[in-house]
Amino acid sequence: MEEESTKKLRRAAQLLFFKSHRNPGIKGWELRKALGQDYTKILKKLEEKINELGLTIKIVSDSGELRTLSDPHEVLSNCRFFISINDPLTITDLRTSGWSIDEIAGLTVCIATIISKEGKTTRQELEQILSQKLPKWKATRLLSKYIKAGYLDEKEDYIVLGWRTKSEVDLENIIRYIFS
Amino acid sequence: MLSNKKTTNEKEIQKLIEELDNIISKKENILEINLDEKIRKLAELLSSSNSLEEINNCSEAIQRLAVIIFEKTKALKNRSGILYIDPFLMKLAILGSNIEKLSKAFIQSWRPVVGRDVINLFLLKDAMTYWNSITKYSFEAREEKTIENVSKISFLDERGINEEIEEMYNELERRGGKELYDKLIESKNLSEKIFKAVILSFMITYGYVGIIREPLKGKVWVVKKEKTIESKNPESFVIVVK
Repeated sequence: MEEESTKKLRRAAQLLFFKSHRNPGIKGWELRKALGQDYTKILKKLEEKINELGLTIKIVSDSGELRTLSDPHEVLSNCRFFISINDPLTITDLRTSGWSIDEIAGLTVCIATIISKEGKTTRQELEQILSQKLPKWKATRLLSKYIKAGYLDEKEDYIVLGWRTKSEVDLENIIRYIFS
Repeated sequence: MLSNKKTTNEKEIQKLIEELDNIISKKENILEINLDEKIRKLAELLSSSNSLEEINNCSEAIQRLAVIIFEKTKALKNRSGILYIDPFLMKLAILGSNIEKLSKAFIQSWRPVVGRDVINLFLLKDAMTYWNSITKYSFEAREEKTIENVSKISFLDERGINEEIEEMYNELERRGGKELYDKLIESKNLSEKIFKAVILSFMITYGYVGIIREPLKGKVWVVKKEKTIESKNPESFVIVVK
């Protein structure tokens, strides 16, 4: 019985750590299919273990709302489950993140501008505000990079927050920091 | 006399409906719109309505009022939330911050997703489809992607390719200017499908159409552009044709 439980715990870790699709994370229904009806119990055990390592399981709905393992199965079924870092990073951690300080600052500007424009703005507006701090060619290139990475998304004529910003960034916190 | 009154009443209701439609379509400064007067006017019109048609029109006006109230509620909720910030103030805050402060704001609020890229069945399937779709390596294939070069190695001449591009552009226009990539290249057989994908890649390269990706839904949309836009920093990406 215990052996079965350990096996499921390992399987849960594999499913969450290793990408099985193009995008990271796995849907609730997929976890249920792979781990069984009581998959949330297994995930709670896994969370206890990874918490010690400074990691956590994050659950995000399609609309970008954060959910918890205690939410009903019907709600969790279509949510995406990720493993993310629990503690804030430091500027020195940037070196290992693959992003430069300019790129991170530019992304902050884009996110803050989109939030202040009630969730959407034009590419031109973002390019214009980025160009105040960065060369124009870099602003254009950065916008494409943010979209490609999933932090921003292009919806018809507008740029909106991408799935990755909704999953990884504490928006209230970022606004507080900018105004602090 | 009664007939005249009916006409006046009907006109008033129609006018009110038009005003409400105007408010809904503009959606600007919806919080500043005072609905009290319009509700009072509608109440008067409803009480003096005698025919079924007039009452029906009044219900249309009520429906529009409900839409406006809903929009006002949404706007009020957004403005009262912690994430509501005046765009001007935000611009000032951004301009007043240095790059270090802005990046620190992000770093402190960022909890990146942890994940490893591994070769899995899904990726293998994609890779296999891609491998089968690429042409045999040759010197010509390394040449710059131009219509002239493609015409050298394909059965269509330059004129033929231009006609195909025009036809596909018109097809996209017929479908409302926006269509899913898969649906646009949908064909009876694979070779025709790949041919359409090649034509579409030219249209994208030359800026006749744009691409919108929805990574979470796994959808790729093709959007018609009114005029060709040449990107200064073109981005290259692979779309797997199944």
